[in-house]
Amino acid sequence: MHRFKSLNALLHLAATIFIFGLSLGNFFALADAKPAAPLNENSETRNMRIVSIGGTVTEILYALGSGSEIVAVDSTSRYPKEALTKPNIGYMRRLSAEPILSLDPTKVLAIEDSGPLVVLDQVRDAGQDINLISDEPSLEGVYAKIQEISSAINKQEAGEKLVNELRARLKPSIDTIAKADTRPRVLLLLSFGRGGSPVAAGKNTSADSIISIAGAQNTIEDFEGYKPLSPEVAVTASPDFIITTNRSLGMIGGIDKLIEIPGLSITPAAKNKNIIVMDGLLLLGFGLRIDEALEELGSQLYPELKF
Amino acid sequence: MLVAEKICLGRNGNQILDDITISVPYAKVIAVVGPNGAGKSSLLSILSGAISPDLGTIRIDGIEIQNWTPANLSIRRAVLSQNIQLDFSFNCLDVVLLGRSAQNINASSNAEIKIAEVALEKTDALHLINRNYSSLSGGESQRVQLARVLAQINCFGNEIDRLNKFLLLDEPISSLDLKHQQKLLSTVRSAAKRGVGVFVILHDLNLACMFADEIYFLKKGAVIKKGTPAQVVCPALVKDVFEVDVCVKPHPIRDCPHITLL
Amino acid sequence: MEKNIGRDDVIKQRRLRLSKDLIYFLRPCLIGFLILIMLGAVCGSLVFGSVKIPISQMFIVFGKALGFEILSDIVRRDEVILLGIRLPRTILCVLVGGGLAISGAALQGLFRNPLADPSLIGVSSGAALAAVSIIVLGVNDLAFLPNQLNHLILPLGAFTGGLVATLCVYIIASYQGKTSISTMLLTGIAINALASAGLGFLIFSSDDQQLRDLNFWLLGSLAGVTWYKVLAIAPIVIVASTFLVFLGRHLNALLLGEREAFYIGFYVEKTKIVIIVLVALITGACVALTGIIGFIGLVVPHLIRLIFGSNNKFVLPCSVILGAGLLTTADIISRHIVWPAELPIGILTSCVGGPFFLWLIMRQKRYQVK
Repeated sequence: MHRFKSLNALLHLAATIFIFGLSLGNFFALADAKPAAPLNENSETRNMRIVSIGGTVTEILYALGSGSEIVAVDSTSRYPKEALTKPNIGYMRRLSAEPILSLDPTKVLAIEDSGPLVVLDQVRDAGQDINLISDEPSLEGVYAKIQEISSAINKQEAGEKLVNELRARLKPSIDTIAKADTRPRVLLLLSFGRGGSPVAAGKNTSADSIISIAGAQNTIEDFEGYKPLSPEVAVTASPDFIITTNRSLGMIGGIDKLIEIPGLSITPAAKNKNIIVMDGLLLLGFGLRIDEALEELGSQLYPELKF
Repeated sequence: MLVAEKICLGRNGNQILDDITISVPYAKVIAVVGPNGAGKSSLLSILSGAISPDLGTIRIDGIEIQNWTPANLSIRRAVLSQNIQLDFSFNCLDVVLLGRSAQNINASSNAEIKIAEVALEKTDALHLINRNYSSLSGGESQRVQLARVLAQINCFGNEIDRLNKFLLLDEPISSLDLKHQQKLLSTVRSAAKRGVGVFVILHDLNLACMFADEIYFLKKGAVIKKGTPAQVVCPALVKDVFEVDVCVKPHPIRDCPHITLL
Repeated sequence: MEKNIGRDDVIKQRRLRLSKDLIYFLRPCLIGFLILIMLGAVCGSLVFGSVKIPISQMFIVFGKALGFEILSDIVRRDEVILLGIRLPRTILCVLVGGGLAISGAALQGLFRNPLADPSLIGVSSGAALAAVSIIVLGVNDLAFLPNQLNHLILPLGAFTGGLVATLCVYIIASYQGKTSISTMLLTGIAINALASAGLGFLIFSSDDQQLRDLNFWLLGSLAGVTWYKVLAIAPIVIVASTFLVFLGRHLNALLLGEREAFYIGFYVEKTKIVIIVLVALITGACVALTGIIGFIGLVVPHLIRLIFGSNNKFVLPCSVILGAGLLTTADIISRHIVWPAELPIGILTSCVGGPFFLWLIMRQKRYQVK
């Protein structure tokens, strides 16, 4: 008899939990039970809800005056400060489909290289279009970004204005750089992860692009992409300037630790303490603030010139 | 008949078994005694088929033991090793049924459970049947293990099942109290009466004399003497093998010698 | 004072003994309870999601999928979410949760050690090394392959890496046809260390993007699941798990010791090989798709043993059920806890599994009979 009592009790408990669980699900589901609005129809009549994926995309959206329309950003969107208060959908290369859909966006703007591609397909399959914004690390690339984003949100005029303003702001820096008679030799270092071992930027990187726009010469010519810095490479490179980002410098441990890295200590850059430290997104993001980046970089590379 | 001929076994440069010949006929209890390190457990491992000897052959009914599959072997012979460790929590009934698990896929049918119950009864462990094995004392767990071994070859089943089987036991009573020592050896004897050939390693010479049909005295890997207890047990032999002085008299009640330490 | 403590202990032990004996009789309904938990989790996984889908829509969508034309407007988005995102993801949770749990249970039986884990035979670290190599070498997006096949490069590579590592462990630990379990344990540890070193080097040579990618892979995630991926591993996991369940008898006998298992009548060496192969296949497939998800293989069989005892006839199948239920529940939580982002599920299982396992160990210590 004892046995059956416990059996009964357990079965009752199990049934209760199961039914409770289902009802809870139902409750949540019904609580918001207005059927999903048909997407991408009448987007002008609905309020704009933008999901912005990519630091520079967010930056440009704010500049176009659409900051308030952004409902969520990714983890690389760190400028302007207001962006940090928006809901965060995670790392741009590790997105998930359902959260994006649940934000009920009218537009999803994603920088090239967002992913995984499967997830982007899933979002598109569900009826939500994704605008992929190209990410070309060049001045023309920045203009293209602004144009693509502004046309996606129907603010082409504002976009053109931004492009022209940027061109105007860039012109003085570009002219000054063209006048320079030296081509400083630079080495751009970044540091990822613990251990702080830096990697050097070779060809075909955004670092390489900003260096050449700034009229300098990337001393790394033998490889593409980012590769660990070996002392021989550092010595052969013999740069006049070393450029790095705030975050990387933090991981390396400060300018003094940077100079101590084998091979670097005998470079002219280290000897003369010509270390240029800038914000990562600003320097390498190829976004709206590229004029600031160029100005700051230029003024450090060519101290004799006026920026 | 389980026959081992001219068995030689060496490990790490030591000769553990040297030219041993032993036969275990059906319906007889063969006891093996000897000091520590004599090679008794190794001999049992070889007889059971777990180890291959360097030299010599083992045959069951004329067929070499290598030609037997583990499953066929398990039907014919069951082995109880010393010191079986079971650190997981198991029901005692399930432990006994483990012995039958290779022979029958449906190891929890009523017939199987009946066999297990009979075996447990014979080792005076039936009251432990639903207990958790890890909660048992040393003696209790040894009895359950013996029940498993008995159940494996179904010693106490119906007539057809009892012919042509072997029991190989390595010190099966080491953790048991006096009462259970006697009981277990009597059970083993009754299994032999039903036709099972028993090979048992014992430490207690007197019990060997009381329950065995034949005793093999082993020392340093060689058979010093073998024969019925009445025939071979004498103070000289005990002194030679065990290096102790004893006095051997006829047992007051049974028909076997009785050894008293001096 | 001491006497009182002794008596309390005896009473506690007796109570524990009684409860363990009771459990023997309650087994069938406890199994039913576990199945209910799993079904509840599966339902929850389909019902709960970032997007609110009313139950009525769910019935319409599933009805249509099963062939019933329910006369109602079907919202395309809900259909894609339910059938294309949540359903494959739920099925993957069940497969991976069940697969990892039964692999852990089988290895614990094989190593005769309740702390054994599929990673002991090197398969997890081998898969991780292969996956991270693919990420860092940049071969996971080949231009000439169609999109669907591209998605499979990383999982296939990880799977192969896991099997290769297990093969190494097996070869080193075997001699003349006999595999030594204790040697395998040590070899597994050594292979894991080697793989760690390799991983460390790859991390050292990676750039920012690759580093983020491989970190996410290593943390374990169930996002980005497609039907292709699920159907790729489903046969392996299901078939291998079924075989493992049938090896329950063998594992039970092995618990007494390898020699005893031979005496009872099993082919011990063959059994060991088969178990290792099956566990490697299941774990390799799971890790290949989801990255490293820890603690399921360790905690779930442990829990089942607490309830059912160590009889593998019950431990193996019940581990599958509980593992599936637990991982699915964990996935539901991971999808909601940091909305709109998703928490990599490996973090959740470690966060919950770690302290829980410690609690289990401490509890066991108190009730140790020996």
